[in-house]
Amino acid sequence: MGYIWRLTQYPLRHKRLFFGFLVSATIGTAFNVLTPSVLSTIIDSVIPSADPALLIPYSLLYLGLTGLYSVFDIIARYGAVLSAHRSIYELRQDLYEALMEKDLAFYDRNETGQLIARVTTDVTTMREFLVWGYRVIFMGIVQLIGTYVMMWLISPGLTMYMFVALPVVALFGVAFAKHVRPVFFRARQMYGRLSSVLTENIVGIKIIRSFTSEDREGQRVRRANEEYRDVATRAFRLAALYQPLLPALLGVITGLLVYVGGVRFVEGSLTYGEFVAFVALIGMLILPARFLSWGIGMYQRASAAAERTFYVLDHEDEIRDPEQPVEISDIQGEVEFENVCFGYDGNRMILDGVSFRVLPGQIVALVGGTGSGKSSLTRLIPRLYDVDPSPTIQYRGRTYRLDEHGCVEIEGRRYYAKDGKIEIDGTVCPVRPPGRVLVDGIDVRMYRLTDLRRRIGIVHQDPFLFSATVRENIAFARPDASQEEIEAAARAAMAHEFIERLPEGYDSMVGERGVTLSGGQRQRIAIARALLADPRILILDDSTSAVDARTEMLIQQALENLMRGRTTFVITHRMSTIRNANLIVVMERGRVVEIGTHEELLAAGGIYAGIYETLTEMETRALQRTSVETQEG
Amino acid sequence: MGYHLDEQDDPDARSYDYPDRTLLARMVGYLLVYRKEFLAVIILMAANMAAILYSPFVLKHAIDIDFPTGDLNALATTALLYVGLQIAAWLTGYSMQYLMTGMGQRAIFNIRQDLYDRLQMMSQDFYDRSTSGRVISRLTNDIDRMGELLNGGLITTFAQVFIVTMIGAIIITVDLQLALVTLLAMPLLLVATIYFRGKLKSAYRKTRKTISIVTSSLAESIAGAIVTKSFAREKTSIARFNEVIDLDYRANIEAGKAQATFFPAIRFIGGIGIFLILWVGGLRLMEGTLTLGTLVLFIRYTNQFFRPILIIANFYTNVQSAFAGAERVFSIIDTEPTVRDVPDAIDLTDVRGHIRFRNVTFGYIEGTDILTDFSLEIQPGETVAIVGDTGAGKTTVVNLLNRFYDIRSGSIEIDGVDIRRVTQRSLRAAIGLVLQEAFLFMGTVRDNIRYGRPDATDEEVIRALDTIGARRVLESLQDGLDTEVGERGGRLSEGERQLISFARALLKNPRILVLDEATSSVDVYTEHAIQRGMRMLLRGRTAIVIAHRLSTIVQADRIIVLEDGRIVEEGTHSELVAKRGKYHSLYSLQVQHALAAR
Repeated sequence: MGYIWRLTQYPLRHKRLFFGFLVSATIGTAFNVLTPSVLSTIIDSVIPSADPALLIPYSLLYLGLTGLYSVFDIIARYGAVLSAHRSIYELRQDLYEALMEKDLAFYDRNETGQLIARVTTDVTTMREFLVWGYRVIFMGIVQLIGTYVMMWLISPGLTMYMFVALPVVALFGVAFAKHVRPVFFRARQMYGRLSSVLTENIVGIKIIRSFTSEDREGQRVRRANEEYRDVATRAFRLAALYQPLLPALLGVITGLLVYVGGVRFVEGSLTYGEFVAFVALIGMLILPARFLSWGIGMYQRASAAAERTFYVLDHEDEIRDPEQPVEISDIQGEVEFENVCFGYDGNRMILDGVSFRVLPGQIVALVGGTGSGKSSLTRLIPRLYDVDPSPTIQYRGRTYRLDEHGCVEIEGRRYYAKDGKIEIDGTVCPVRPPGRVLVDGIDVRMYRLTDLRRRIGIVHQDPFLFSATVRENIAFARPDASQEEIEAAARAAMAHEFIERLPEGYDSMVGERGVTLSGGQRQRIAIARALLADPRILILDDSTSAVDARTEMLIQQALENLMRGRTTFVITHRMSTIRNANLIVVMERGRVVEIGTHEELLAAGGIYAGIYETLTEMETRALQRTSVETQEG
Repeated sequence: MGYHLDEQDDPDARSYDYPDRTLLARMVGYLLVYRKEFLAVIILMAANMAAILYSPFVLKHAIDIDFPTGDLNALATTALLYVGLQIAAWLTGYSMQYLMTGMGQRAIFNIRQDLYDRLQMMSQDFYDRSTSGRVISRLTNDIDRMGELLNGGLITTFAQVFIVTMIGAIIITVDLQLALVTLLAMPLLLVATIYFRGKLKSAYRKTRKTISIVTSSLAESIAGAIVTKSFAREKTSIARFNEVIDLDYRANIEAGKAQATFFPAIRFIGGIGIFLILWVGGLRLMEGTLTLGTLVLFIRYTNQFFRPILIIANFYTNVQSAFAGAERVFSIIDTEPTVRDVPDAIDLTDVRGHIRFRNVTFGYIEGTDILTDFSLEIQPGETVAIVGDTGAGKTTVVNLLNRFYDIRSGSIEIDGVDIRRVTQRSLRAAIGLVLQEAFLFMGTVRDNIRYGRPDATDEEVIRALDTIGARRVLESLQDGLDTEVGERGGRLSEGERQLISFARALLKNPRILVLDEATSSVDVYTEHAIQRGMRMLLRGRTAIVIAHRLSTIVQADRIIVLEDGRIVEEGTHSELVAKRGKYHSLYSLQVQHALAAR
């Protein structure tokens, strides 16, 4: 009930609408269950009176009741639609705002596809419940009660017999939900499998042909297709068993009524009209049974969907504004890492005791292989992630976190901190305080998030552009920027020229439905975007190699324009950039292993010297030959 | 920021390449394979309808005869008959559905299988013309649309038409005057149904579009979350999303209005029918020209009128969408692949790896040639790098060698045998193909490496990995070689995928290797591993490399510079640099730049 109850809070924000449509549904149903008694009156009183003048008003009464039922039903349905869609609109708003506020760790833990499903498919399931569920369950119950009340009013004795029908109706609703739905659920799952096998076969067709594995793949498709066929057949057959069962059972009860009613008729305790009304009323029981089984199914699905969706709303963000943020007008751009530890999922340390300081305007090159932690390190500055808040100790070269009780667990044994240290098997390990990232000497967690992030720019090698015009993408940080400012930024990013050549210049749409840009072009637009935002601190993630030489040169130029006068962290393999950096930080498995200038590190002859060799190895060999040949030619 | 609604992929769009009759006949053809079942279904259906249609008469009999006579034995018989009919209706209905489901599901299975088989035979030009998303949609959505009809829809609807006709006939026989009065409501019912159907259809079409806008807007926001955050632009983004969901809200309210009115209105029209029966029938009852039983009979039949009419109306829309799907499915099944084995095709065996293009002319579209009079000879064991701008025809050379397309004139030979004379299978078995984007299949890393040779032992897999120097990278994955790669290898990085595709090609051990070097790239360390892997892969094979990297090109035995489908320069790296031609200008920039960096 919990999640549905929370979901219901949304329609309850507009109580008049919500209860209005339920009341309207009740009134409509009441008119509906009254109609058989009009039949009975016509048969028992009007016809024997032989007065044609009486017949018209009674027939019209029947039509009137049907009409009123329809009118109130329409109002109820429309009210339900309004209430549901308004609720869903508000729910989507809440969800989206929640998504926007989430920190990146949340996005890492949840796959994009699943998040999208939570705001679309799951929300649609909940909407279905809000449109139909409440109304249908409510009407089902009202009609069930109403029908029996009417029966009782006509003939209490006969009604007793008709209570047989009650468990039938109830059992049907439950059994259908219990037996048939799971099979259909399985059929949907198998269908999903089939379609992903088919998708692989179509998308990977060239590889399949090249490895001549057509037969094997064909078998795989056939098997998935067979499995789906078999479970779908079972599902539809089960439905075929259940669906006509309800009318059949009510038919059997009508047969019972024919006998019992006939006996009473002969006894004189039942009239024709009453009998006909009873037949009609039994027919009406079909609706509650259908509605209840339908309602239960919707309830189950909506409940599961709501659980997934509310997870998004409930997920507590760890990264939030401080209660009393530091007021700043501008920053200088000094950055310091102080004993920084960090891990995405708690156990593995991505960063392990990183400490170094960067002065305003300096360029820092971060060097290291995949998983060395260099990208993670840069993400701590704008607080896309936060530094691990627990104190740590080092024991046998590994770093361990202390929990809130100052306790550390190593190989199943627990040790407690005392006087700032922990003794493990005779080794005394000093407790290190939790790490910090400082900007201008102040912990980044003291700034307001927007204040901090506005002053830090990130340019990724494969940047994300929005489905919008080039202009809107460049002016992303400052939508009020003038055309001159935008063009100036584009020029500095070496992007103006190619933008001008696009079919609609700055108004060309980029993204899925727009023009296709090359990686280099996208990167330069992202550089322009960062230039216009004018951050004090810059993070360049440029770890992969670009394609053609012309573009490479343009990007290099653009990046140089961008870096000028800003504290820059650059993740790159470009030797020219690394050599020109004020500081080179070599990382390995989350630790800083070497730090210094190019010359210092080369002289040290350590890891950097090795990397330097790797980086230049292939190219150097080629280039030495080439350069000689060029000179000769 | 504007959102346009895409009309291109409207699922109900028809080309009318096939007349409706043909489509229907072919679909029914898939059901008629099961003739015995089909016959049984017809018989069961007749029995089912008889039971349903006869029940009201039993009720009438009870009211008109058993009640007044007071014969309890006769009454018991009547009641039992009524109960019996209900059970009979249920059993026949169930058996009929049981058989129909079996037939329908098998028919759907067969259509899907036929389509898949055809797709597997289809030449590459077919896949170039259509996006994979569309092809997949043929296999899934379009067949589901046909399924709506085949899985009972078709037969049930005919049954409903029959029921409606029978009810009409029965009530006319029972009492002509009352029947005519009752049927007055019929046209109203039809008009209302058609009107609402049309309205609902367009309203729902609109909601489908708005929800797809919601989804794509959402997908973008999530994908771009890091950008939005780092520029602190969450508020704008929220405002944008509100606009989008407002669109969806409005469209749904519009559809909801029609939906809310539809069924109650139809039911009210049924109410009019009963009103007419009560009025006219009541007068007749007073006159004594009608029995109460007949009146009840009419009311029962009128109630039974609705569902069929709704089902028939529904059927019309289903048919439209099934036909649209069937048309697309059949048009693929009917397409002959352009590249086929000749009747007396031989298997290409013991390949040495000598390749020869002789005066080849080819274009994807009639009239625009990509390659003109193209000739190239590659010796066994030689590595040839093809360079040139986008559109120069590099990929085409590779496509033709694999015979993904047939050439217009000239010939392509392997070891002196025209590739059109050998089976496509043996040809492709001889050629290893490594694509720019390494496509992986769901399963583990090991499964993917063994893709070409599922019987390869673990030692062979390890040896392959060692050879290309990928063992360390792949074994350090979370579950080592048993790591699940995810859909299309999505859980691995680009570089890891490339290494796996090298190992996969190596294990296949082809004499000829075609390698389309990836343009997108990876971090330096993996890059290093990839370069090494590539060198090992090429060793001792005839190889054509579509090269993008200087380091790869430099190592080739021969470099071919393509421009507009012609070889403009040819030679070793040093020769070409010395020439100061196209090659020189292509790469001098990169060279100078790299030199400047040193």
